[in-house]
Amino acid sequence: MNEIMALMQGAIYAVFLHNLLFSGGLGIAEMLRAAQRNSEILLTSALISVFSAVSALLNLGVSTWLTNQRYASEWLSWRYAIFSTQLPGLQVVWHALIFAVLLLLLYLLMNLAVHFLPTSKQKILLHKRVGAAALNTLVLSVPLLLHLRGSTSPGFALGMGLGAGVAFLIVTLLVNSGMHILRQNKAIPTQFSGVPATLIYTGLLALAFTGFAGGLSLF
Amino acid sequence: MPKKTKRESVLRGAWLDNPMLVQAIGLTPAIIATTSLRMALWFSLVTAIHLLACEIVASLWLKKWQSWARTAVYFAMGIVLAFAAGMLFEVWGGFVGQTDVVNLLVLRAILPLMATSSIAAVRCERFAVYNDLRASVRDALVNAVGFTGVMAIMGLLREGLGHGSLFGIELTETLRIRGFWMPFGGFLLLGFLAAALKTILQWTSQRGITKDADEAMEFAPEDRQQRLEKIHHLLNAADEYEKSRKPEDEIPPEPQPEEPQPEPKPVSAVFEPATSNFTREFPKLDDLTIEQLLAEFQGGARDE
Repeated sequence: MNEIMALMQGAIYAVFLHNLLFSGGLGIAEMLRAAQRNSEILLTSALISVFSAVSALLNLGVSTWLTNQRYASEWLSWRYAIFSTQLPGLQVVWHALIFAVLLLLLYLLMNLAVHFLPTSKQKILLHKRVGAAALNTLVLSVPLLLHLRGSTSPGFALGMGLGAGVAFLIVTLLVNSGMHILRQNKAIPTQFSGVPATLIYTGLLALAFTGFAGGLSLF
Repeated sequence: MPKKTKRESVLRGAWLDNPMLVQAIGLTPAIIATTSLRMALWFSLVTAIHLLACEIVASLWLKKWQSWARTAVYFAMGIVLAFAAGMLFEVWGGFVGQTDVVNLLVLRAILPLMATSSIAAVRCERFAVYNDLRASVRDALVNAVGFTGVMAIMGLLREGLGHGSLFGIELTETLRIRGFWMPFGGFLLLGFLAAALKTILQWTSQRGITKDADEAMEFAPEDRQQRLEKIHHLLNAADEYEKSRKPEDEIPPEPQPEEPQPEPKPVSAVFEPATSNFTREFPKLDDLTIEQLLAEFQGGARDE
């Protein structure tokens, strides 16, 4: 029951409280690219959810296991003996390395699975979307944010991973509809049309989300 | 087509096709890492190294690889770079001695470093894999210049107006607009910078300083992106088709026996004269075939 509550908390944290894209500014470029293509928004968001959730859980498992291995833990934190800082367990850089390597393996596995599909337009599209989603998951860095929060709950990790995809979906849909309206608006001066208007619109949405979260940014 | 000069090429890459303000790539570092000018410049340097390394590798060795496999290489290169730079940063930050501060600092360093993989992947896929080494190196450097320019301006404004300081040196205590420090402030600033760039390009284009500014601003980046996507899609589809071709497709068809060619007809038989006067004025044509007539005409044209 606690883990289910933690899952919901994680999802709400990633989507609303600290929306990873608006409150953190993470993965914005890919979001803008995805927002231009209506047909691929759902697929990209779903893939990000899968990548984030699986990588967050795997990262949590591997990091916990490594921390419990006395020698590995000592070896990984050798330099803290030199600088005599008191840091428990693995540090951010090691978390980042483990996360990135796990994500790379997941990416390769997913592509291998797609590779064996019969040749079709969907196969090419899937290859491309898997790549974009994996890179965006790397930028969203859910496991690192979990580490920053000091959370070790698998439920929270899963919720935050799934929430990352939902956050991406909500933000992309909002920006997509905004782009559509902005394109049709002939009153916008030429200097502001295109990227400037989209970025300012995104900024205003981020302002609204930040206000909703009580004026807090992710960092 | 007139050949572009180096100056025009640099101008196009750095400003007309600015990676951040026109192509809208690399926005995450611009939001996270520009709250201080020093950090912005440090990230620009790291990004330039990463971009250069990736474009060189892509241009030299990855042209024949499939797109998804190339992405894995950019990914791996990004991991190595982010880890190395993050370790340096953490060791350096370790002197601070405050766990939370160091963790936060390192996280703020690691996240944009992760994002550099995305920038490198986009530039390599759009340019390096279709061009030679020299052009790729130039593209990487030019994009790095454009990237650094925007990062420096963002860092200057956000640190100056958000913190009231520059390079960590406090300038004012009263003028601190915290909004500039927040992510939404970064978005708004980027938007206004993009608009400023467009205004400058229009102004210079009207005065003939930049020749093709209008062309660059003709279509929104999303249209440009869509065009590139289509090209990539077609290239990938061609690759897939080549790989899926069966060996029997390549066996040449058996030679068919040649059909007997009809005897060439004289011109008079093909062109029936409308009146009897026609044949009287050009009597020699009756004796020539169409082929002979053409050969005669072409030979005459060559002689002249």
